[in-house]
Amino acid sequence: MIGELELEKINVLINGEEKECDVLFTFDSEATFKSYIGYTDNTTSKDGRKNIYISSYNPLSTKLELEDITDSKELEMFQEVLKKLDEDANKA
Amino acid sequence: METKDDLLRQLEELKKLRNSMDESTKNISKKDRIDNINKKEKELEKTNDVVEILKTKIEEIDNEIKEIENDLIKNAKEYEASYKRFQELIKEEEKNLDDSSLFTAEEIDVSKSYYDKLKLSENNRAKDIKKAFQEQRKLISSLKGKKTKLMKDIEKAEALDLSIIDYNEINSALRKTKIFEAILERKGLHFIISKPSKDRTKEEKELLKETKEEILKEISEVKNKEDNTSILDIIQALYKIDVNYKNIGTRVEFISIDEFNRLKENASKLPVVYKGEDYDNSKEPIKAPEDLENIVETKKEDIDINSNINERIVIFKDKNNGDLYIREYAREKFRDKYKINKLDTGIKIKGSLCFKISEEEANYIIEHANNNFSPYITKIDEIEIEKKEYKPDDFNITKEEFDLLIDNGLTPGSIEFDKEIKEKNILLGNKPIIDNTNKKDELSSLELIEYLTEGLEINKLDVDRYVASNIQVSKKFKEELKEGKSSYNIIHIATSVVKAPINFFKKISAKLLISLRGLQMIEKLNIRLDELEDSDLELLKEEEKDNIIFPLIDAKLKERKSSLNDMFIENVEEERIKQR
Repeated sequence: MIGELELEKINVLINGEEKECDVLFTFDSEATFKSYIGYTDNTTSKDGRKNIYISSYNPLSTKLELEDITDSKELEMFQEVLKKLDEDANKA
Repeated sequence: METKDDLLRQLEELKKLRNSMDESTKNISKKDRIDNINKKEKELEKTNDVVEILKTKIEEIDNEIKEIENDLIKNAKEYEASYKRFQELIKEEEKNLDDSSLFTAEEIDVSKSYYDKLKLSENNRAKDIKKAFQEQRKLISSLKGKKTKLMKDIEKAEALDLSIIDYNEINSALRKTKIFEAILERKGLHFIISKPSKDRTKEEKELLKETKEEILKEISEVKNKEDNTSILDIIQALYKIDVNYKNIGTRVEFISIDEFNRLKENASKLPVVYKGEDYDNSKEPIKAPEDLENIVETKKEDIDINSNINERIVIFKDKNNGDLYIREYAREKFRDKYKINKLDTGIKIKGSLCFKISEEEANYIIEHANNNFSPYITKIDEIEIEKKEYKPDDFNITKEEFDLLIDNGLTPGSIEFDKEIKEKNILLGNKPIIDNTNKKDELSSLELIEYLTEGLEINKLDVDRYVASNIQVSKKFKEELKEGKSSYNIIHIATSVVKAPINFFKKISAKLLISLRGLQMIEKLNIRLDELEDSDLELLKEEEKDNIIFPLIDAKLKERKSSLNDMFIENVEEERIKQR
């Protein structure tokens, strides 16, 4: 079951530059006690692909801090979520 | 458009409401009244009053219990109503701030962050109140249970023509397992008591019950004739047993040093870090024999403490006599899965209730560490354990209070026993609760993690594949995916949030939508984290960054650091509004 997220914007420092980003999707994982977020500054790379940034954060904390994702299992989970989102969008 | 006066008026109501909630918090405790009834019930067990008077007194107690229960429910309802209004008021105040023209957007964000803190604080208090309410209902229910039991005992004593004191004395003697078992043995029922309770048939259980009643009757008859003879003497004479039950055999097993060495040898062959009697922090851990190197190598990934096995079973070895112990949770784990039996009443080691195990059981635990179902890491920790028979003085409580806790099924020295004393404030004077352990602030980060995660099968969450839950997607992105025109680069680099709408993170993940088991685990971990000092949390933050429970540690530390006084928040807000 995939819920709908109200369009939210966050300002994020990317490579030292403050950028306004659209939040694309979020999810949690009970295996890590963490929440995850995907967002974009709507830029595209040289190959024409749209850039999506992914980070994790601690949903139990009152302080908002995005963390880099380096764990391969977390990255695999992101891939699966994106796959699921794509399937869900095309099913609808 | 909200005016300054409106906002101030709402803030004033908020203050009053919180004062009222403070009052409810104070009133929720019925400790003194509950203790008083407990005392009365205890006195009744020792009285020589005639049955009619006893029954009248029990009726009085019954009425008092009902009164306490009604008051408790009333207080809880009052608090609930105030809390509900508090939530509405905060919502209104937040909306009114948005509607007013007194503040800039940034200033409104600051105000809202204050209200977030208030909400968090009240939310925590609501949880505490709920907990206190449930605990007191439990105590009240225990009072009711005791009252009912007292009534039944009075009736049974009356039927046996005994005073309630004599009746209780007989029961107390029969509660001593060794005495009861010895009598049953004389009656040829040893085949039943030699089985664990759960393995007994319905008929056997029934036979035991009938035999107990028969024994009661036999002892009562002699007591009625020989009033001046003590119950223990009667039992001794009737059943020809030694009532000094400590001498009636023992099932406690001690292991020899040779046996322990064999155990140690087995442990060293396993792919775990062994800390036995000759463990020295400055030295490398004992390595497995050469011919086992390959096995160790292949299994290393499975058992490394930083990998996905977080459950550890510590076997404590008493330096004084070589006795072996495991923590309560481990005993439960193995009792369920591997049929390990309960052997004694438990002692406290390093802050946990521990139970003695036999060498065979220790071997079993070590040998099964690497099982597929629920792998764990074993560690043998050699320490000096002070043997102690607990007395009321050790806890600075009276004999009555001590007996009350025992009657409630608590083991002296256990965590629950200590907790009960602390929460009921039975503790008097300045003597500390007996604790033959190192303090938690002296523990290493590894030991702290061990303490935090003991009994929680956290490794089960750490599976080969992580599963996402509570997935939410923006409408725009969903449409974009549907059009299928774009392709994407997924980038994971270190970024930091400069600005996000207030409550954004809370809004998108109202809460971590995890299973009940996960939630219970978080709750247990949080309770244990609350018991740690700030310095422990700092140590864990520094050294356990890769641990699965790190987000909880981090959150707890931040929560403590941001302990802005709640009342101060309201005053600051009031000042901010007034200045406009």
